[in-house]
Amino acid sequence: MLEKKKDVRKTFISLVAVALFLALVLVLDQVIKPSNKMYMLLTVLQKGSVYALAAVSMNLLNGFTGLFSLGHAGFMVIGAYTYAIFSIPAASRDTVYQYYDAAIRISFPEVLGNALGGFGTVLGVILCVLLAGLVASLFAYLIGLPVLRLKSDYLAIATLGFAEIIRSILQWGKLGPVTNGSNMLKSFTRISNFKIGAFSLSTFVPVLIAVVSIGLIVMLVNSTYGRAFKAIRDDEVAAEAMGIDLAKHKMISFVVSSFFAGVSGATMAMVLSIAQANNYKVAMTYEILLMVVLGGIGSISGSVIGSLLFVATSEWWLRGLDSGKFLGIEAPGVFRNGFRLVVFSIVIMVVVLFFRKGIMGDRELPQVIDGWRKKLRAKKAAKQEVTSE
Amino acid sequence: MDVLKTALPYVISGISVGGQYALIAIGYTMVYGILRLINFAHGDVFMVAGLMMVYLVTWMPLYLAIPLMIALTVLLGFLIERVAYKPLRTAPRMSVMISAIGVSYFIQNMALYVTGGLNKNYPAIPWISDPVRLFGMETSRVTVITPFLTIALVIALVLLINHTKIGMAMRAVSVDFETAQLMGIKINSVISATFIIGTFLAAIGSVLFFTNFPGVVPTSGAMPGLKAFVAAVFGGIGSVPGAVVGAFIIGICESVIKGLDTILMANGAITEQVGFATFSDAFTFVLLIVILVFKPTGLFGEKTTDKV
Amino acid sequence: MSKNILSVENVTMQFGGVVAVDDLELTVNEGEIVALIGPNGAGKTTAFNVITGVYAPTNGRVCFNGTCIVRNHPAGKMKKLYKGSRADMYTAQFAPEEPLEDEALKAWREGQRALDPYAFTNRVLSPTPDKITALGMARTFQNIRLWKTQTVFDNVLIAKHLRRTSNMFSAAFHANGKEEARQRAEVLELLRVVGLEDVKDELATSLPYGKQRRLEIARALATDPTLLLLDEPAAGMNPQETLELASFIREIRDHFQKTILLIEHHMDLVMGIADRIYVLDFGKLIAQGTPEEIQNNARVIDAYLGVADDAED
Repeated sequence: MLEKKKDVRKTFISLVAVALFLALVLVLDQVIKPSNKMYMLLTVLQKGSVYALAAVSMNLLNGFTGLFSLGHAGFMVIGAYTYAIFSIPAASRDTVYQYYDAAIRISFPEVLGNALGGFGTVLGVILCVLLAGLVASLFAYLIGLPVLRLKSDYLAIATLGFAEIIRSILQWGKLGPVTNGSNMLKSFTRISNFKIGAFSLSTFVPVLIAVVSIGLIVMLVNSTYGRAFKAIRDDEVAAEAMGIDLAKHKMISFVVSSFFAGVSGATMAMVLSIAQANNYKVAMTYEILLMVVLGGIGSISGSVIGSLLFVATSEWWLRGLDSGKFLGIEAPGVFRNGFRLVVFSIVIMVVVLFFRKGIMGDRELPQVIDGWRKKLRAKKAAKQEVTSE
Repeated sequence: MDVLKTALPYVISGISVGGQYALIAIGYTMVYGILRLINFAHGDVFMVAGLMMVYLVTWMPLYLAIPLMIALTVLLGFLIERVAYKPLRTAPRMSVMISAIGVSYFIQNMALYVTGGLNKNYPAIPWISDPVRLFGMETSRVTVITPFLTIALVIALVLLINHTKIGMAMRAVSVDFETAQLMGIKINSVISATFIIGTFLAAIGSVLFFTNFPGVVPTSGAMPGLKAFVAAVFGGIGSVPGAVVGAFIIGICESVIKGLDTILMANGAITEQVGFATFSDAFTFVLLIVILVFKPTGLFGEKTTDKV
Repeated sequence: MSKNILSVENVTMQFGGVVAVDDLELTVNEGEIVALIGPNGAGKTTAFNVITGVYAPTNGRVCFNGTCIVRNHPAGKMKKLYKGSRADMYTAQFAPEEPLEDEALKAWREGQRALDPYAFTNRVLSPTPDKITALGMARTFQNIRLWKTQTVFDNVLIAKHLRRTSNMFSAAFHANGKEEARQRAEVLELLRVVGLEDVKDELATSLPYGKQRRLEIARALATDPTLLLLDEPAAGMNPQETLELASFIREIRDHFQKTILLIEHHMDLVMGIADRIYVLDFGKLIAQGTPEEIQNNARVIDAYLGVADDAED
C-alpha cells in the first residue's frame, strides 16, 4: 500500500517537473531573439530534442533489449522524408521537384489547415509526424524479419547495410517523382512556421514531440514488456525458457524503436528545414550511439542528458575551439575549424575507456536523486549525533 | 562478343579494386578471428595511410616516404589496439565495438581538422601509375599489378599462418582464446602481430587504391572499409582466403554495376539510363544481407554451436 | 494408473559424428519425482535440451500430457540407417521390436497413429522453448541463469509475462492494472512460500549461491508448469544445503502438486527423493528402476558409482 502511494507521488512530481520544463521552453521561445547572445540555447534545445528522442529510441533497442543495431540513421531518414513529402504546400511542389514530376501532391497540414483553420494545420503536422513513424516502422518490420535472428556482430553490420541501402534508394533517380532523387527536399512545414500570431512555438513544438515520445517509451519500458526486453538482454536463453517468445519480442522492440527513430527524423527535418539523404550517413548512427554511451546504456534519463550534453558541447560550448579563442586562450593556429570535434572525440574516447557506465550507468534520474537525498539524510543524522553528545 | 568487350574495362578495374579491398579485408578477418571484434577503425587507418603519403612527399623523396608511411601506419594500428581495445578485453562485446566506433570517429575528425576539410591529392607514384595498354584499352599499371601483388602477399601470409610458430599461435588463439593463454601462448604478442600484419597490408592497399582514386578525404576510408568487411563476412569471417575471394567478387560486381548502364545501352538492351550506378555501393550490402540470411558462416566459414 | 505426463520415445541426438543421446526412452507419471543420472558427459543435459525444445532431435518423439510436442524423422547421418529395406520406417519414429508381417504390421501402424496423429507423415514438430514452456514445462539450468540486473522480485515477475493477456499497448498505458496487481500478488506469495520474501528487492546476483538456486526454481514455478525440470539443482552445495534442497523439492511436489524430472550427481539427493531413476552412460540408457534396484545394479556401479559404496561403514 505504502509503495503504491510512493509511486503515485513520484509520478506526480515527474509530471509537474516536465510541465514546468515545457513552460520554461515556451517562455524562452518568446524572450530570446536571434540577436541575443543566448540564442544558441534555442538551437541546442531544438537539435537536442531531436537527438534525445533518437538516443532514447536507440537505447530501447540496444540498451534495454540488447540488440546491437546500427541502422538508426536509415529509419530517421525515412521519417524525415515521409514528413517532408507530405507537408510540402501545393504551390511549392513543382519548384522543389524541379527535375521531376512530383507523384505525391498532398500536404496534410495544408489540406487540413484549409478545412479547419489553425487547428487543422496542427492536426496535419501531427498526422505527418505519425505517418513518418509508421512508414519507418513498416520498413523496420520488413528488415527485422530476416535480420533479427542474427548474432549481435552480424546484426550490427546487417542493419548498417540496410541503412545504407535505404539511403541509396532514396537518392535513386528513378524514384525522383517521390523522393526528389539526389536533390534535397525543402519548403515543407518547419519550425519557423510554428507560431500563433506573434507567439513563437518554434522550439516548443520539437521539444513537445520529444517529451511526449520519450514519455511513451518510458511507459513501455516500465511495463511487463519492458521487463521482458531486459530479460532478453540479460540472458535470452533463460528468457526463452521462461516462455518469452524471442522473435516476437525482439520484433516489437525493433519496430517501436524504429517508429520513434522515424519521429525523430521528422523532427530533424522540421528543425533543419531541409531533408537530404546524404545527411543521414552511418556517422549519424555512430554519434547517436556515442550519446547513448555517454549517458549510460540502459538509462533513459541518461540518454536525454547525454544527447543534450553532446549537442550543447559540440555545437555551442566548444565553438570557441573552432574560432581561435577558448576560455580566454588565444591560439588561432590550433583553434581552427574542426578542432572542437577533435577535442570532443577525445572526450568521448575517455568516457568509453574509463567511464564505460556513462553518466547514469543503468539508473534513472529519480533513483539518483533518491540516492543523494539518502546520503544527505545520513549526513544530517550523523551531524545531529555529534552535536547531541 | 560485344558484351564482353564493353564489360571488360569494368571487369578489369573491378579485379583491381577487388585486390585493394582484399588487402583491407584481411585485416578485418584476422582481427575478428582472434578477438571477435569488428575493427571499425581499420578503414580509417587505411585512409590515414593515404593522408600520410600526401604530407610525407612534401618533406622527403618517394623512396623514403613509402617505407616511412608504412612504418607509421603499422605503428598507428598497433597503438590503437593497445590504447583502445586491450583495456576492454574483459568487457562485454558491445563495449569494444563502441570503442572501435569511437576510434573511427576520432580519426575522421582528426583528419578533418588536419586537412582543414580540403580535398588532398595523392602523389603520383612513377612506374605504377604509368599508363599501359591491356587487351586494347588504356589503363594504368597499378590496375595490372594489384591482383598479382595481392595474391603474392596472400600466399605469403597463408604460408606464415600455416608454417611458422607465430602463425600456429594465431590459429590457436582464434580457435580458443582462453586455452591458448593457458598453454603459454603470449596473447598480447599474438594480438599485436595480428594488428601489425593487417595494418601493413592495408597500408600497401592504400598505395594501390589511392593511385587509382587520387582524392583523399577524411571519409575516404569509410566505404572501402565497410566493403572490405562485407567481403570478409561474405568469404567466411576468420578465413583469409575467403576474405580475398569475397573482396574480388565484390570489387568486380561493384565495378560492373557502376558501368551497367553503359554496357546495357551499348548492347541495345536498354534505351535509357536506369541509374544502376547509385546502387553500386548498396549492392555490396545486398550481397551481405543475402549471405547472412542464407549462409551466415560465409562461403568458406566454419559452423560453431553454442552450448546451453 | 497415474497419468503419463512426459513420454520420451526413441530420442536420438547427434551433433555431426557425436551421438550425445542414443535411443532414449523415458516416462514420467503425474506426481512422481524422476531422476536422470549418469557420469559427466553422459548426455543428460542434452536430453533436457531436446525435451525443452532447445535442440531438435535427430530422431524420436517427445509427448507431453498426451500430445506429441517434439518429433523428427531420422536426420543427418541417421538417414543412412533407413535406406533400403527399412525405407518405409523413415517416417515412423521407431520400428517395432522384430520385423512384422502384413497384418501385424498394419495393426502396429494403426496403434502408432492412434498415439500420434502425425505418425508416418513428414510432419516435423520442433517448437521453440518458449512454446513448450507455455504448454506447462519449465526448467532450471546447470549454471544458474538468473537475470543479473533485475531484483529477486522482478526475476520471478518476468517469468509470469508469458501468461499475460494484455498486448503492448494496454501494457504501456497501464490499462492492465488488474492483471498486473494479480501477478504481483502471486509473485509475493510464491516468494513467501519459498522463503525469499525478505530479500525480494535485492539484486538477484547479491544472493548467496543456495538462495540463487532457490530463486531459479521459484522463477520456473512462476510460469505455472505441470512438469518441472531441474538441471543439477544441488551443484556446488554442501551436505547441509543438499538436505534442505531435498526437502524443498519434496515440498514442491507435495505443496505445489508438481511433477518433477531432475538431473543430478549428488547420490544422496537422488536416492533420498527419487521415485524412479534412469541411468545414462555415453548417451545410452543402461538401467532404470527404483533407487534400491539402481544401487545394486552392477552395470551402474561399474559405469558410475565406481568401487563398492564407502558410505556403508
